Amino acid sequence: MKKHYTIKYLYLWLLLLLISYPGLAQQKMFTGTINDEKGNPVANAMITIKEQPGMRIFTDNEGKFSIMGEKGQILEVATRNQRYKSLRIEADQILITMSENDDMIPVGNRMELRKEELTSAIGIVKADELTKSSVRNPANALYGKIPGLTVLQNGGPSWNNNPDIFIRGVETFGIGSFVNTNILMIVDGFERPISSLSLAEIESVAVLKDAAALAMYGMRGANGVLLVTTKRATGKGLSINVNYDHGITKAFRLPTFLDAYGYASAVNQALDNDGLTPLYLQPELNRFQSGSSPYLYPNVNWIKESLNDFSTMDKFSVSFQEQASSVRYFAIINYDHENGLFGPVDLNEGYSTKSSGRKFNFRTNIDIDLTRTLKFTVNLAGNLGENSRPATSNDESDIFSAIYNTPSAAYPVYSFNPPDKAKKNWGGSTTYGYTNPVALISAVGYTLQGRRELMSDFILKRNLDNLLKGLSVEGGLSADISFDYMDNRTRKFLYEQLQPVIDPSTGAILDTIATPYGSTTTFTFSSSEPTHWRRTTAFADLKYSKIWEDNELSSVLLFQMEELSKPSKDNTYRHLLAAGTAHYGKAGKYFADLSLSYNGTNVLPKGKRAGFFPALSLGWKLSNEEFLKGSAVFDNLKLRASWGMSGNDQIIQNIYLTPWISTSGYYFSKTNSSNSGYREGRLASSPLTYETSYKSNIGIDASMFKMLDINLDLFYDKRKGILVETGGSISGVLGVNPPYSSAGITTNKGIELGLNLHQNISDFNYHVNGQLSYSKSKIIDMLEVYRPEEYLKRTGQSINQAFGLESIGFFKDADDIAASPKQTFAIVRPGDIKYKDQNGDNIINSFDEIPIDYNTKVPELYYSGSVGLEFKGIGIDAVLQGIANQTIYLNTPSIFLPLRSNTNISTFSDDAWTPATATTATLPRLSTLENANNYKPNSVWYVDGSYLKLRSVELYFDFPKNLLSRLKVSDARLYVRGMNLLSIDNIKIVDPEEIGITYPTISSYNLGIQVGF
Amino acid sequence: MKQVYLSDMQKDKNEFIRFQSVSAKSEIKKSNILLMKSVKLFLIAVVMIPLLWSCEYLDYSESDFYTQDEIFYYNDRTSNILNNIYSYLPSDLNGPNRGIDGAMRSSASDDAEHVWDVSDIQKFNDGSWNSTVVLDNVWNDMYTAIRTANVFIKEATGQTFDELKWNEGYADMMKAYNLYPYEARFLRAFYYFELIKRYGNVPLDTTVLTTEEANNVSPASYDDIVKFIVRECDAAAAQLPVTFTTFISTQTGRATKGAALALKARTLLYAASLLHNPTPAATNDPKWIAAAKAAKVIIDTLGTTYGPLEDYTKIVNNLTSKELIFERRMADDRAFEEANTAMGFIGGWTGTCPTQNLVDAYEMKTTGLGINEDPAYDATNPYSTTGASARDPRLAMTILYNGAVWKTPQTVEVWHDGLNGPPKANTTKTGYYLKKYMVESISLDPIKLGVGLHVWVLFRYGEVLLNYAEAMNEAYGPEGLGPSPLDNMTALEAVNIVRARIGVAMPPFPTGMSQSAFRDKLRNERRVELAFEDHRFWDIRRWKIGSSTTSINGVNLTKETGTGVITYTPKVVETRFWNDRMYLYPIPKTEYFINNKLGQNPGWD
Repeated sequence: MKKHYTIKYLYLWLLLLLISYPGLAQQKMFTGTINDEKGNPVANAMITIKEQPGMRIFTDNEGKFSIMGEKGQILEVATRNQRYKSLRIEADQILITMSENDDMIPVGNRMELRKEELTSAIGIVKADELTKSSVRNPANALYGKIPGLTVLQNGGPSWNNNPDIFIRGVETFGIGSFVNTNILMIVDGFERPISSLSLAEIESVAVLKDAAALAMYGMRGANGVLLVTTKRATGKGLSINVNYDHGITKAFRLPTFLDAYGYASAVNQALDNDGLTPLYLQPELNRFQSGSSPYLYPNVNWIKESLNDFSTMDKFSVSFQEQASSVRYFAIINYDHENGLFGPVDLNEGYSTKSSGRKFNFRTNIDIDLTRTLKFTVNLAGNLGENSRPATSNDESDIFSAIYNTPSAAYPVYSFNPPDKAKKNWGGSTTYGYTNPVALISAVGYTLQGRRELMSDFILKRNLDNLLKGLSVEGGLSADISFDYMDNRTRKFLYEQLQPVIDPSTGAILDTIATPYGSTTTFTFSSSEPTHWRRTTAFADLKYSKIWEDNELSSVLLFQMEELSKPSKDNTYRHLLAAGTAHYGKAGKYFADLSLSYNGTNVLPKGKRAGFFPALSLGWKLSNEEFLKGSAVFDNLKLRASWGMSGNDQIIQNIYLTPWISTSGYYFSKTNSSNSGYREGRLASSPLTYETSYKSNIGIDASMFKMLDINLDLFYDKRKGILVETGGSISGVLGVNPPYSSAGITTNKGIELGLNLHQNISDFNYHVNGQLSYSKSKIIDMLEVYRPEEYLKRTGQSINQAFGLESIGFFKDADDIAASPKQTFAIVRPGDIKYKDQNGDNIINSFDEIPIDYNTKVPELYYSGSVGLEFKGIGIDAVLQGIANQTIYLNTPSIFLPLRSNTNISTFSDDAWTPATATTATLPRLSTLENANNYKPNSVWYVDGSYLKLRSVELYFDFPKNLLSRLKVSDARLYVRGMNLLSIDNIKIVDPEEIGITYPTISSYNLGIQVGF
Repeated sequence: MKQVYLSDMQKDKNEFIRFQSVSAKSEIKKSNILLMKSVKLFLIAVVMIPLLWSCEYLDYSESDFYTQDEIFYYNDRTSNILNNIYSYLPSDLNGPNRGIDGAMRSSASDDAEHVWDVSDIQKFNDGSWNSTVVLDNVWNDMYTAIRTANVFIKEATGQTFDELKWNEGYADMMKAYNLYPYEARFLRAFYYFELIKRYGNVPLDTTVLTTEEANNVSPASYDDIVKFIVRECDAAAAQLPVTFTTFISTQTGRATKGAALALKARTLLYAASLLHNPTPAATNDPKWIAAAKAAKVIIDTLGTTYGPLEDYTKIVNNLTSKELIFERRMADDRAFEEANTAMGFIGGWTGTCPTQNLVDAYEMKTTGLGINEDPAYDATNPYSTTGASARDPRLAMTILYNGAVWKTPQTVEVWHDGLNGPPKANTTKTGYYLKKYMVESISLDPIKLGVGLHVWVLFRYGEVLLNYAEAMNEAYGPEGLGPSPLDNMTALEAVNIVRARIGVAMPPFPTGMSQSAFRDKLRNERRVELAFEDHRFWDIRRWKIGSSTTSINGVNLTKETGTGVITYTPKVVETRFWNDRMYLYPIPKTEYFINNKLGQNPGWD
């Protein structure tokens, strides 16, 4: 059946391709003017007549144009800032106003609609907003830019830094470590990571949020889609843009660790708390404090020794764009360079162990008119990135792990061996490991890691007006590759442990014994290819649009196939998509969109591979109704409503079969020889399907008093078919790992609000913008295992809800312990956390864990505010962004959990319990042991993760145009900018967004210039 | 045919000429047409390729595992499944990630106490276990083993591997292969016994269940499962060889005829015991007779295979022990030694602490009387090995007491301030350390860590004799006989074989004992003989004597400085919780929650 249909379509397409011939008609000259909403003329806007493809006219500096055409034809206007309008030629003089309502919004799958006509929930941010950030990964320019888009910063150096991105929170959960919350990122119509691009080449980033926008993506869209559009040639003639930015970077926050004396005292305190004998005697403590024996009793600030206070970054880009008669192109090269924070990198002759990242991006977007009706588009882009770093086994986080975990009293940077003073060896100790932080930075060699990425699109578009007015056909191919390589030049170093010889009677130091460990070696070379991927997509579509009387219709029919292949097994994804959408508008007041898609995936078994996803949305533009026309309050008022389905097929592959797995065997024969075993693995998943999200959305877009824009969206999503473990619903009598099942159900509801106040008062203009997104998920069903108490259940809670024991203070003394319910995790001592007995069984165990505060992954509330003021070319911009309703689990060793396994202690632990501070302490006693009682998830270590950050602040100066025109420069801007400067939060000691031991988040101060020719 | 071929050729030629003339006519537009043509071809390709591929495009699998058919197709893979079924055999050798949270189950009986207060084993003793705080939860593991056996028996039975027929060794291969289903049936029966001794009534299934079926099973009665185990053991015993020492290649460790008969004997013994036989007949109770007969078959047919009894110290950790009927084997390691070596010795952290209760159970060597009955017992030299005050030699072979030699020349020092005594943290709670199953030669010195062989005894001939003695006493009294085959060995004779073991040679039980006196003394003998072989915990339950095992005793030792005289002060280590519901484990609430047909055992919620 299906085959039959497709063949029919094939013939239809072929027919459309082959039949076409041009026509001629009666022509006359029309003139017109184009202004923007402020009344300023719009220069360099492109005018075309729909019926006469190939002909292009541009407005002059006064916004004026004249064009040959005939009455009744459709005139189309496209401005340089992606605004678009089409209207029927009725009078000889045409006056056109282009406003924000005329913004072309990409709605996915190669469709664009004017903002005015949108019926779905789509947010967008454009280049002029994005370029107010000095970042290497464009994703880091998105903090607080679009309502509904949650971007959470991560640590890691800029060349290896990807923020977490969620759209409308999360409404699904994976099994174990399998992640299924990834959003779909589309660049120019093809799936690609935004991190492959440079910020300078991006025209706009749109976020698709509701089913009306997502249904077309079938089973890829349920987590939301980020649509990135790169720049293309606009306007007339050649223009060149140059941008240079130099920045000084510093760590946003670094924790403070105790000095040697503080550390040694803390260790003694901890040992005392544990009932063990102190490690350091008073004379030793004194020596740490006085610094009298800096080698035997060192006091090293490892952060100071290892890191520079400041480093630098540079960004340079130059772009060209031109519209020639039949060829239009946009070309850009962008170079990023950033140095890392590590200090002692030049201690070796012949090479440096510097950490730095360099990346070169290029892009050429070309549109060629092969004939008057045939357009060819080629987009070629790519990047070459290379970064270097000390050759530690993993990455920079190894070094930070050493810096943070090595106490100041551990050992000196260099050992000092009195008999041979010229010989300096690295300090080290068997207790604290083979990880002298300074040696890791400078003495282990260096690693070069590079990435090569190439992205290419080839698209042919044929206008079929002659066959049927408004019909066109399009087909294209895209192929991307990404390849990483790594070259290691590693060496090892010798370290020396120093131990004093103490006179037992006087306590004086008699001698120093130096014991060497390891040896300094020559380089070992190795190369590897850590990862690579390739992606290919082919598509064909048929578009049809028509305007008749006061009706308009635009529609697209799409067929697409794609493949993503990553290394190793179960990492290849294939999809086939057939989708159609139609947009209908009546009298500029009523709009309706209908989307249908049929999508298949290779991760599901035969017969269950495809899904059907419909969506319907409606819009009512009240401000175009008679009763509101000319209203003094509302310049624009639109109501939107949508309902539809979207899917998610990010599920573990090959689980529709039951594997037999290699497992424990047994021993036979007189020599007890081992024999391997096989067992039935997890049963084939049943039922197994993709996730379906049923999304409802209502929204209001309003503009009032010509100065206030309001956008409000309310949504309610219900997701079914989430893959869950069924252990909670299948009896152990089954005798094998029970199958996974697509039985999970969640809901997610929320609100998005955007407010924008803007005004122009002669030379002064300002805007104040506020955005707020709130989403809250709830697990409805997850086939949860039996839990004896209601409060233990994950069902009914948010996804990733924090669960833990509830602290009710610390044990005062042995009597207190004896009088309290028995805590079963470890033997408790005074100063240990006392937990609340939730179920009243007089025993504290895992059945006393309750939900604590919020979820630990995605904040429920994400908000931002920005302010912009401009007077005569001098302006200031600032963006604040914050979150609330998120819980953080402070489980980082050394920073929050001190001293275990010979780790470090930070100032965070200043509030630890001691017998003296028993009444005021906020943290349990120090301990050198694992202490399973204190260090388990509980309300002491779960803290409020909310913060408010100053993401960027910028002061700029636009050089006056009259000055520039003499220099043949069209525009020029000088700016000073600060990125990620401040945070108000509860964590204080480290960045609340990155509490782990890794390369810290970065602040930067930038100075830049942009010049356009 | 030929004609068709020719005409096709002609057609091609015509086509070619036509194309030539067309192209000649439109010379000027040629380039344009070529462009258009290629563009059209491109578009056609773009549209067509996906359509043509659409059916197969999504057929893409990167699976890297065998499916069931692929597994059973090969003999070696098939035998590996059987290996896996063996791997569920239990042991009570504790260690990291072993035993019950690192403790031996013996520490939940009055034979021992575990040193770690936070180990889950203490929940048996303080009564804090229940259907949600489950202990020793073998439910899933046993049903996993049973399912694997069910699949195996179904799929492997009757396979002939015809394609290997002409291979050398095919006959031998099939000889081994044809035993596999019987080994699997024995193992499945063994695992059912593991379930019923804990839970009583449990679901009994010999088919491969679907998830639906698993969620709706009803439990079978204890007695029905006993019948099933007996039937399966009989079937297996009829086929399995007496020994694998001479079988094709040496395959010792596999289930033998003796193993099947020993499982049957133990199962029937448990089934005849008070817990499951609440109103036995005073004499000639059929359940006890059945238990006696099952043991007697082994004594009669395999008595010379497994007897005479082995040196007591050579029973455990010995693959070639003559007395051994069936064992749990494992890889060489040192986990048990790490978990039980006395605090104070290198690498020692203490684990299992044998109780004074057990120590007191060892009789006097000379008289065979209990320590309270024999005036020769010397409370100042309680562990004497010589003279009239000497104790049962098995004491020194099982328990490390103060002064015992461990890794010559080290001796155990349990007194206050001694090497292995308080106030040092984590020293023994009872005054004793464990010796049985400990491999003395394994070094725990961090710079030369060693490993050694551990063999956990599942069935041995000594137990069979004790089982027989118990059943005969209950059925016919200490010196009574029954009809054939119970007509030539009394309970008394059976137990005396055990006591007469080489190197132990305890005096025989006296004649003329009452049935109940004999019962008590036999129970004591069983406790001593089978100490730390995971019997006591279950015996307490089947005899229903739990409430008399709650007082756990130990001893404090002090050493007088100067004279070196050691004083022994008895102490109560703990008084344990007991409730008669503990005779059976609770059905885990997680299971009951899914399928309430499983019911719950008496006294548990």
